[in-house]
Formats: sequence, structure tokens, C-alpha cells
Amino acid sequence: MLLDKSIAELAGLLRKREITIEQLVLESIERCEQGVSLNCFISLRDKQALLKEAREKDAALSDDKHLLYGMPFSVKDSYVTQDLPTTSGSRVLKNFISPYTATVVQKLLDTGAILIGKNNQDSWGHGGSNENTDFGPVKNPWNPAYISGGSSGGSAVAVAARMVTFSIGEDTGGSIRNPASMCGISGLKVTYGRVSRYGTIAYASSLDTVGPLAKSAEDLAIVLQTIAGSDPKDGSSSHRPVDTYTEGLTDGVVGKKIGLPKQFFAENYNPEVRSTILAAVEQMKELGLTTVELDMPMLNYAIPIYYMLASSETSSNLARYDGVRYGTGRENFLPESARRIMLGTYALSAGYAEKLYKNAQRARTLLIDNYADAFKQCDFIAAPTTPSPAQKFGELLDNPMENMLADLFTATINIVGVPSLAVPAGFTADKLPIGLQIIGDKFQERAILTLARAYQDATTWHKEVPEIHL
Amino acid sequence: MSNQVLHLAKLAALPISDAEIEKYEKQLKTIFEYMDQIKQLDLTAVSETFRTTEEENVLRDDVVTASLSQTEALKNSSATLDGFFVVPAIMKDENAP
Amino acid sequence: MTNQTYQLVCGMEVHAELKTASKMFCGCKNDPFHAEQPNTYTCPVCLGLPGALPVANKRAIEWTIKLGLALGCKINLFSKFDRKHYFYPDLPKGYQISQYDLPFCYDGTIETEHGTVRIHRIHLEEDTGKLLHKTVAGKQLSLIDFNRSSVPLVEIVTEPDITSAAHAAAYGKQLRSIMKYLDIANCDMEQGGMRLEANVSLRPANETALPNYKTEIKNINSFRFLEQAIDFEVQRQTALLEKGERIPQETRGWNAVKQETYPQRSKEDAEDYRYFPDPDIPPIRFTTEQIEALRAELPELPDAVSRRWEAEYHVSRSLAAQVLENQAAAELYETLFSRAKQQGVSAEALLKNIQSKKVPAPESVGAEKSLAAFEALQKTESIDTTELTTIIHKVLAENPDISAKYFHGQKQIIGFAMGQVMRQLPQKSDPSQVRTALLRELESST
Repeated sequence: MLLDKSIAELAGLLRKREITIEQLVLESIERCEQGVSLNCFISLRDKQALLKEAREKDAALSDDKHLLYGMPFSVKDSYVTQDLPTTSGSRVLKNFISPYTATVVQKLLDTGAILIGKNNQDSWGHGGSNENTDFGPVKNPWNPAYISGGSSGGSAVAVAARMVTFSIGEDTGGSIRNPASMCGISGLKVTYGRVSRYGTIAYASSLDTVGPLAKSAEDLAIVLQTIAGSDPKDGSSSHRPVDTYTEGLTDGVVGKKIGLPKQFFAENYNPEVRSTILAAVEQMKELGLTTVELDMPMLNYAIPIYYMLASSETSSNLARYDGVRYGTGRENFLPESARRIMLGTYALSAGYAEKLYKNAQRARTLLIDNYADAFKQCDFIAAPTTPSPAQKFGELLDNPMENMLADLFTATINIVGVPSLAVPAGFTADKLPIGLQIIGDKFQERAILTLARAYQDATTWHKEVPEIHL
Repeated sequence: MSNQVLHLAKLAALPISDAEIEKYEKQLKTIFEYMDQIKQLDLTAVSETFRTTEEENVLRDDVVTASLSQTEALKNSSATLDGFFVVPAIMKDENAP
Repeated sequence: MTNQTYQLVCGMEVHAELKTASKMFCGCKNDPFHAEQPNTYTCPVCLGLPGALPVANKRAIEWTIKLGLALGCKINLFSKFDRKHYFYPDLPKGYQISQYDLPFCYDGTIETEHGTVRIHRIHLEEDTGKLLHKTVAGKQLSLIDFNRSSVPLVEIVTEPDITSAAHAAAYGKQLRSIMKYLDIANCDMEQGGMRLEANVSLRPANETALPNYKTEIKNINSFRFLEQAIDFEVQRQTALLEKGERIPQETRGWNAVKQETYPQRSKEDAEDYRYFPDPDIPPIRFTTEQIEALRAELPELPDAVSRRWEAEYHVSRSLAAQVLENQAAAELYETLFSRAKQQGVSAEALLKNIQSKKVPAPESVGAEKSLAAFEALQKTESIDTTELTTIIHKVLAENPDISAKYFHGQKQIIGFAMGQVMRQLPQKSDPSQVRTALLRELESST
């Protein structure tokens, strides 16, 4: 299977003419067809058009082409594209065809990468199970009775099931890392502003980030190198120069310190997840890292702060969907979104904004201080990604509180704006993947990718492939 | 509380049915109680962080760039007329001239 | 209490569209009034399409600061944009990008002939689309054009310093003349480029506390309507207060046909705008040097120019105001008056003749020819000295004040005296000749 190979390997084989882009794209199409019951795509491009594009790209292939040239990829349906419909997983955007393309998608298309289709998701990013969608739940390739995680569940499944070389997800409170962990792949949540949000359907604007999901840290680095950078169309995108992520990733991490916040390692979540993460930390010690225990009391407030802020902003961002200029109408929001909109409306309303919205922004300041103090004592922070492995369908859907708590370890990172990546770290006894989170200080993507790369060079968890149940 | 759910739904322009009100009421109440944890914090001397971008003064020069064509602008709308978007009459004001 | 008299307490909110080339938060052309077709100056940003993000227009911000500086405002060195939420089909995003607690400018003043009006704040926001109401096949529809959506809009809010309808109109006119003079807004009122709102309430004449209610009269599109609406409200509210009734807090519109205000259905039942800082637009920070650089770019404003003209050229300020529409005109008349002064010609007389179209305007023929034409006219219009002297004697006898004031140092009384004399002259005459004769008579009467 070609799609099990790394991007660098595939690029090498293409340049040596041992394989063709057409073969790669055909395999991608076939994998999508085989895994159709996983329901990870909302729209797919026409097969003949894809193959035609692949042949044209084969004809134009030269050694100086970008590493991503000819690579089949997919994007979460929260990115607007001119060629395929964009739904954000919601009936509210039924039949919507954007007249413009998101910056991140355009940057990838400009390298010659080939967009295969657009992935299923919890609508508007509201959820961590990919059940809150008008396009049917996404199934976990490791066991289709289980959820994929979310909200970028479709992207994670497409990568895990080797349908594409990589996918672009969107992470507001854990939406890339959560499904990456549950599906046994790698996912990167970037520093706020590192990748342009232009053309990303907004969930919560001060928390939303655009990032890749792929089979390994090495592949994540290649995609990040391509999509990072300032964009005149996104005022919040960072003007800092973009690091080199693709070279020197095998530089040692010897002597670096990993912080372990005691709030992330209490015994209040799934014991299999906890023991797996602790084992991963031991593994990293063997790579030459040391550990330091951290006390970050504000982590206990992450969920209330996150929900207050994310709901407030989403109540505003989703106000534009009135069915006048595009889409259907506001009666078509799913209950999870309606709840968040009402919660946010309440938090911002006269008489409550001071106590709810503004106090959450104040508490955010304290959380940021906790992280700043932590990064004075260590280079990385390690954490589980989700409090439990993938659940069975229905367990989260009707329990808004449980649904919220699924973001326990991931949401704090978005509130602060630092980067974090999830990498596979083991499996449960039932063979469900468990993910480790490696968190860095702002704009330290290169550092966390280096550590993840070192960890993946020493482990094989990321190489395990689910047998797609056909 | 059910009045409050109705009020919020109205403010947010969310059409919800009577049957849903009770369900939302219960769920929102649970969530609000959970959110109340923030009250435990002493925030009197703490300033707000509204955004984590370090950027400031990101402005554009006053230069005209290409617009969408009228066709493109209207193409996703279910109701248009003579180049306009159309909605049922609003603000029909008897007293207005 | 039947003889209680009330005084007006009035503040104003004025919206004006800035005449930037592009819109406030996107690069679409800012020219909604001249678009040939609806929805042709739109893009993902001003249509509120999914995923689109706003980026603020630098010039619109600089112009807002300039307006503030021209009105003597203080400038917030740190500022930001906020989202103001309400649902209306002409508001594409479900919120308007505006400024809530940190407007660019605050605490300024405007002088009018009816008194000073303090400026509370000036902020920058985006305009909405435009609604048209139409009946098609028996169905009443509202049509929406987003060409105006996100056009930069400044809002100037005053303190409740306005004491009469005339005061309100004078304030509005003065504000408009300043914006036009700064060349930042066309202020076309008929098309909605400048929109007036007056907050009107009454209090007993002997009290100073602010009334506990206000009536907002919205969307007034002429100064005449503004005066009529305020006068109407004063009468309406006086009648209610005299009956001992409480006046509700409400928004009213002006019906120019019926000549009355009417209660308007509010856009929202309860106004709860849920403001919060727009996360898409990073904050704006100025240095004092940047503000001073903008201040240095300000032209000498019409008020200052007319004061100086009065001192240097003896041109009355009301007359000067009529030509101080823009900076180009100001420069042209400056040249004209300084030449006139060099040649011993009365600038006031010259200007009057230009305005009465007896002398061609410098705008059409240039300062040189305008002055020459006036000098030629003067020669042809000198009048019989005996007749002039008789009239002067008559005027001075009928108005003993003139000599009295003149000898008490109030030399400007000459203007009044000249007016009296000129009115009685049988033919069009040369004001400088009249002035010379009048001065001679006054001096010789000691």
C-alpha cells in the first residue's frame, strides 16, 4: 500500500519514477471507496477528473517540484473551497458553494497537492465525537462501533484508514488532537495565528487554529512548512518569520525538560489512558529528557473558561447564518449548536457579561500566567489527549456535560494559544488507540515536532494500521 | 428559567419548539452550575485577555480590489429579484411616510 | 402647575459615511450611490460569507482621528473594534463592527452661533446594506442591496448641550461644513450619506438635573426636518408634562408629510447588543508622535480662517462662511483678498458683489480677473456726492447710536451705518465711496 508510506518516501519514489501520481491517486480513490462505511467524507471529487489531474501532474513532474506535489489530501468541511460544496457538517449550509477558497487550501493546491474530498465533522466544530453532524456519524476505523472523536473526525479517519497522505483539520478546543488520538494518528494544533484562518468557517475566533493531521510528526512538519505564515487577509495571523520545520528534526532532545502538571496526572480519568501516558513519559526519559512536576491550579478551571469563551464567540460567529444570502435557516442548527449559541448569548447579555464573559477572560489571564510560569521550568509539557479512549456511539451525544469534559486536557491549550501535538502512544486492551499530548511554548512548533519525531523514531505505535472493516 | 430560555432563543434568533424548551432548560441549568466554578476565583485585580495574537495595527491601505460579480454574489441565495436579495417584507410601518 | 415652563435638553448623534476609495473592512469600492446595479460592490467580507475576515482601512481610521483633532477631541492611543449584535436582513454578519468602550476620539467641542456643543465621542463603524420595500405580485417584499454594506461610517455623539431647534441645526451644519472642509465625507443628506438623530427631552426651566427619559428621533435627513421634528417634540412633550403624564423612553421617526413624529417599532424588542471585542481585528495603538503628525496635516479650519479674514480683511464672518466650503475655495479667496488689500479695495464689498453675481466669481475666472472686474464696476457706479452726503446726514440723525458707538471705539458700527445708507441710495453704488464719505462725515461731526 503506497498510502502507508511517508510523504518523503512517496516523493522520492515519484522522482525515481518508480510510482506515478496516477497510481497514488487511484489508490486513494479505492481506499475511499473501500472505507465508505466509515462515513468520513461529506464530498468527494469526481473520480475521472481526479485521474485526469493526476495524469497531467505526472506529465509535468520534475525534481524541483514541492514535496507535496501530487500528494492526495483532504480537508475538513470547515474550509471553503470553490470546487466542492462547504457545509461545516450542517444542513444550515446545504448547497453552499463558496465563491472563494480558503488560504490554507489554496497554499496546498499551489504546491500541486491533489484535493480528494472534504471530511465529515461535528457541525461548526461543536463536539468531540463526530456525532453532531447532519451527514451521519463517523466511525472509528479501529472498531466501527466506536466514535472517531471530533470535531475533525472525518480528517482523522481519512488519514488513519490511509485514504489520503494528510488532512487539514481545525482545532478550537481539541478538535484535531482528540480524533487524532482516538484514531491512532498524529495531529498538530499550531500556535494561534501561525496559520491563516481566512476561509475557515469560524467556531470561536480567538481560539480557532488550522493544522494538519498525518501519519507521523515528520509528515506534519512538511505540511506545516507549507501552510504556516502571515496572510494579509487574516489580521490575527502572525508576522513572525516561519521556522524551518522540515530540517534538523532528528536533532537530539537530550537534556530537555518535560513538565508534568499534577492536575493532568491525577487519578480522575481512565486508568488505561493514564498508565499509557505515564509509560510514554518513561520512554521519553530514555531519550535523554528529564521530568519536573508542575503545579498549575488554573488547569482545573479550563472547561468553564473554555465553554464560556467558545460559546460567547460562537453565538456571534454563527449569527450570520440567517438563510438570506446563502444556506437554509437558523431552525436547522442541531441541539448541540443551539445549546452553545444560547449559552454564549447568555454569557454576553446585558447584566451577565461582566460576571460570565468578562470573568472568563480574566480567568484566562491567570491560566496564561500558569503556562508562562510552567515554561520557565521546562521545555515541554506532557499530557493525555483525552480522558478516555473512543466511546461507543451515543454515550456522549445525549450528555452535554460528558461531551464538555472530553475537552479537559485539550481546551486549556487553545485558551492560552500555545502549540500542542498529539501522537499515538499505545492501545487499550480492546485495541483502541491512546494519544499523548506534547505541548510547547508559543511558536515552538519546531521543538515539539522534534520531540515527537524522536519519540516516533523510538516507538512503533504510529505505524500500526487499522484493518478497515469492509 | 423557561422564560429565560425563550428570551435567549429570541435574542439568538433560534426558533425552538415548546417541547425543546424544557430539555434545553435542564441542560443549560446543569452547564451554568458547572460554569459557576469560576466564581471561586478572585479576579478583582485581573485584567481580561480577549485575544492571544500578539499582533497590533494590522491595517490595509485604502485600495480598491476586485469585487464578486452580481451573479456570484447572488448565486447561493434561494430568493433573489432584479439583482437584489429578497426577504419577506419587514418593518412595515403604518406611520412612516 | 399650569404655568410651568420647560427647557429643551437635547443631544445629537450624527452618522456620516467617509469617502474613502474602498470599504471599511474589505477592498470593495466605496461608492454605493453611483453603483449602476445592486450587489456589484460586494465580496465575501462585506457579504458576511462563511470564513471571511475583516481587515480595517487605515485611511478611514486616520480620517476619524483627524475629525476628532479638528473638533478638539482627545484621542485614545489604544483602541479596538467591537462587535455589536442584532438581527436584521441588511446586517450580513448578525453583528456590526463598531467601537464600544474605546472610541478613537472623545471630549471635543463645536462652536455655533447659538452656543458651544460639547462632543462626547467619535467612533468608527461599518454601514449596513440598504433595504428597499416593494410589492411584487401582491406580495410585500424587502429587497437588499449590500453595495453599502461595510462602508466606513463615523458616529459623532454630543453631550446634551443643545438648547433649541435652531441650535441643533446650527450644530449639524457646522459639523457638516467641517467634514466637507476636511474632505473626508460628502455628507449627502438626501442619499443618507449623513444621518441625524436627536435625543430630545424636557426639564422644568429652573432645574439643572438631566431628565429621567429621552425620546430618540431617528433617521432625519435634512436640517429643516431636524428643526421641525425638535419643535414638534417640544410641543408634544410639553403638553404631556402639563397633563402630568410620564413620557416613555422611545424611538420616534419624523413624518415630513404629516409634520409630526411617530413612535417607531424598535428593531429589537429589548436592545441587548452583547458587545465584545472583535477577535478578528487586532487592537490599534498610536504613538503621540503619530497623532501629532496627523494634527500637523490638518488645514486651518473654516472657523479660524473666517476669524483671521475678519481681522485681516474686514470680511464679516457670516459672509466668509459662505465661501469656506472647501480648502481650494479658501485658498482662492485668500489670494483674492490679499490682492484686494494691496490695491486698497474693500474685500467685504468685493465679496458681496461676487455673491450677488455682479462680479464674476474667482472660481470661474480666477482671482485676478475677479478683482479687475470689481474695480471696473466701482468706477462706473460712483454717485453724486451731494446726494450721498444728504442721505448720510439723514441716517446719522435717525440713528444717534452710530456716532455714539463709533466714538466709543466700536468701529464695526460702520458696517451697520453703511447698510442703512446703501439702502436709501437710489442706485447701485460703490461701497468704498460710501464708506469714505461716511467716515468723513463722522470724523467731521466732532
